[in-house]
Amino acid sequence: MSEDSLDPVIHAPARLRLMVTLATLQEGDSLSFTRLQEMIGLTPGNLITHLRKLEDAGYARTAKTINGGSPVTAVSLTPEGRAALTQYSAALRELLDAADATVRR
Amino acid sequence: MGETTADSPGTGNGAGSAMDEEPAMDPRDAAAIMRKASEHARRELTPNGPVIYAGLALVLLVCNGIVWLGVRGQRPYLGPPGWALGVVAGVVVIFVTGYAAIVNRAASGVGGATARWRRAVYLSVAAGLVAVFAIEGGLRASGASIATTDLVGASGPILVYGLAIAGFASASRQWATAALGLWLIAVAAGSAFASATTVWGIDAIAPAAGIAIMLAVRRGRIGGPGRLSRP
Repeated sequence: MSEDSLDPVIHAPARLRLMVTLATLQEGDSLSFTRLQEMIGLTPGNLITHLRKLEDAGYARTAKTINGGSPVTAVSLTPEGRAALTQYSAALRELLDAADATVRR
Repeated sequence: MGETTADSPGTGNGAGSAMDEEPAMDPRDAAAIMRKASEHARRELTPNGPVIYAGLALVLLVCNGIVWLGVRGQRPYLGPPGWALGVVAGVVVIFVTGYAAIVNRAASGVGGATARWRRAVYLSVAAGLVAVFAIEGGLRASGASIATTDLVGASGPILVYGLAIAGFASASRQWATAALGLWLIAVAAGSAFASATTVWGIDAIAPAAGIAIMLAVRRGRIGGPGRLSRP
């Protein structure tokens, strides 16, 4: 197993943090763009770029809603995104276990 | 709960391929990022259940305990003195303020099923408490003694909290918390058979003890301070 087995869409620091953060929400929940930006610490432009990449891969979705009269952009993971993150996590664990086994030998 | 300013990303400044290029990431770094991001998100987005439940235990202990101190020795039973009710009101205000601060911070920006569910629970608890005091008033208006109506006033709120906790905890499969809800329901029902003075003492100690046991069970199960989702 090599690093090529890791999903390149997820295997980037900012997008990985985004995916993990959104995965903390219950299914059916979303997080506002503003709160997400505050938690991740990216500039709005940078965050948009990464979110678009995740949306293009079908891992995240954004939706404009109205909350208390103000427009809000709500971000959430799709079921495909959650599954992809689970697979990524499993692949990463296998990779690290294999690397540890090689070191021990 | 919501955004006070328009929350609508524009096209972004400088968004483009330059920002998309990130340095290659070592798998160990990826694992560390996942761990830290997960812990950070849980801390930010999940209200601290143990702190909230400990606060609830303290409020029930102090409020009902204060009233018990105020009514014990009353012959005949006259009900809680004004000073006791004043202290109770102050303690409740402090708890509600603290609770709102904790929950609102975690819930800020979170939308969807959890937000709707939380609002439903709050409305149910509020309606339940209003109903309890309305029933108390109705009993008094129909001639019931203050010793009788105060049984409702003491046990009623505990019953409301117990029902709410048992309901949401069962839905979330938090069985230790659901058991606490059932315990509170049992305490409320059982303490109503006590005298008007004793009911305040029972409702001070029994719920707080139940909460302490629940927190200890969860801490032992999780192996550390646990966070309860959807308190």
